[in-house]
Amino acid sequence: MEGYRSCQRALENLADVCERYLPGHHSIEVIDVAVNPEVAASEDILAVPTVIRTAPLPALRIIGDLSDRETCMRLLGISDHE
Amino acid sequence: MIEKTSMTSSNEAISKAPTGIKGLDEITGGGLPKGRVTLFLGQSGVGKTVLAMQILARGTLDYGEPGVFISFEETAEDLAANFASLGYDVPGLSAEGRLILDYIQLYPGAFYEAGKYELEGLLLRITNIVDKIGAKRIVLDGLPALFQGFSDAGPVRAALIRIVEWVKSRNITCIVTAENEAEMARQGIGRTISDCIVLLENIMENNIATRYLSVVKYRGSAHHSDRFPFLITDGGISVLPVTSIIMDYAVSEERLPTGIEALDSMLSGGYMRGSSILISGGSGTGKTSVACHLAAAACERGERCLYYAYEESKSEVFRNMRSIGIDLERWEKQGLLRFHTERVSHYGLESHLVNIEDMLEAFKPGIVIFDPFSDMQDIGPFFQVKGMSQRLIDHLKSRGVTALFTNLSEGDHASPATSIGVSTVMDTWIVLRNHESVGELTRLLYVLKSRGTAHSNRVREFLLTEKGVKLVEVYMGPGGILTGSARDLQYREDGIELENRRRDIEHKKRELENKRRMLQAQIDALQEEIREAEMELKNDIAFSEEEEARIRLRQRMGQQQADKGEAHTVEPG
Repeated sequence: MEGYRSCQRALENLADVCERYLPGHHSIEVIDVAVNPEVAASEDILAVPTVIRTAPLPALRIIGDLSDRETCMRLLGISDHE
Repeated sequence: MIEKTSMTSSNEAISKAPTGIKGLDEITGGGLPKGRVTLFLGQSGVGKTVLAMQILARGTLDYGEPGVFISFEETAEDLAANFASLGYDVPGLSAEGRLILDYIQLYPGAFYEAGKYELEGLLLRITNIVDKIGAKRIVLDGLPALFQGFSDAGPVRAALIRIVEWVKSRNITCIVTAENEAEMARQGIGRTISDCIVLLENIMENNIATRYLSVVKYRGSAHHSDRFPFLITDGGISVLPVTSIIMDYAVSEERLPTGIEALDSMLSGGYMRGSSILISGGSGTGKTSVACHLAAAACERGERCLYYAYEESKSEVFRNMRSIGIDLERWEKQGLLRFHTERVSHYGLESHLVNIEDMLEAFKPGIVIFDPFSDMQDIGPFFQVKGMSQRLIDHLKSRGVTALFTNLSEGDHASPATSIGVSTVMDTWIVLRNHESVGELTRLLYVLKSRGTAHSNRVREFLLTEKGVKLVEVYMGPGGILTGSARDLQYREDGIELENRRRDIEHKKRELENKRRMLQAQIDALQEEIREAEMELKNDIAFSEEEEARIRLRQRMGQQQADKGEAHTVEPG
């Protein structure tokens, strides 16, 4: 299913970025809203995949499979000269 | 008019979910399409949300179908407050698992977009709420707001289609609200998702706004395509039912007392039940008094009466009626009289109709009075008011309600035509007129027409006494109708006149007698003369005849002697 593939890609992209630019300084928690629908409600998750950066503050959300690497890094505040 | 649309190929009648709103169920032929999507279109504030809420609430209260209300525009608290203002106990219903309200928040800048996504979360949220209570009805209020939240319409459209498919597969009746079709079409989901479209409009006519509802589309079902007026009242939406306009109604033979004895006689017993009565007249002619007599008479019988007063306040009317011996307050206290005072200009013509219909439904009166109905001309052109009154009368007749309308005729002219042309649709028409004579103003009443009734065409004098309205005979004087003290005066004068004439006649009779005697005496004298003359003549004639005879004898004797040949001189013997 398309949705599932997007989520896979998002996770892959995210993991890749974090490994490359924040080795050892990151943690990723994956929540499957199909399994935990109450999270979708409480966090107002409408789009999937949604990535919520909980730290550093401010918290921000990104929806989409993060296939646009540049935008993804820019939004997450990750620069490649680290 | 009813528009027939093509039926589904399987020839199955569409299954419908009743809305619980009387007029709307009639217009849609039974309700909204069950298990399908209905689109409510209309500007902000016209009433889409109220209508959707009401259908949801009635669905669970009247038809045992739990409902879910999802709003993309209002918070859950606001929603709950709105529901509550319509009189629905949201916490209670929620606790019972019959109704759930949910606000799905979307605000720009809440997230960033980076890549492809789907609205799986939205779907899950909706399906979970629905499954939680086994909802059979769902409202998606302000759906287009969903599109505002995301830059790409694609995923939203896809999600919407999935939601609709899911809802249909579960046979859940779905209502979607949006401001206009363009909004929906822009996102590429226009007409295709909905099987039924209901349009709500707020239309300005003569500076008064009236709300209208129309079924623009209903796949697989016949429906009325006209616009129908509706009101938003305390209890929600009221739509004027269509059947009220059908003209096929039973007629009654029963007579209702008018409350004025003499008028009952003039109308062979009273007003016919279920008929329409018009009381027209200039200012101060007594129309309200006639109307209130009917109200009082009805209440005395235990019948309920609904009174719309468009000019005077309740206390004014009550006080005025008390002065002629009618106690309306008593009936109001007993709940038999419902008195409404309002200015007609507060509503449009259509809204008045809906209002009255609501009252008829709630109070179920046997009599309705509109005083003065002529005020309606202030809120619409002639033909509209006439049309509205015809519909109103049809509506009342179909319920067997007797209706009395008073009409203020401008100026006190002899022609009592109404300025709103309603006289033709009335069964009974009573005219009141002021009448001036000998420096005094009195009142007259006459029955101009009364369909189906043998009625008196005599003019009566109309008196307001402490014991109510009394009608008395008028007096015809040489100059016309006379009433009041002019009548008394004329009566006396006529009496004197009669006496004079009588004496005159007596006198003349005597004169005649004298003359006759005199002439008779002359005749007698003349006759006597004739007799004498005759007598004389007879004597003369007799004498002459004797003479003649003697002469003849002489002649004969002379001749005889001549014949004997002797000439004798005859000596006188």
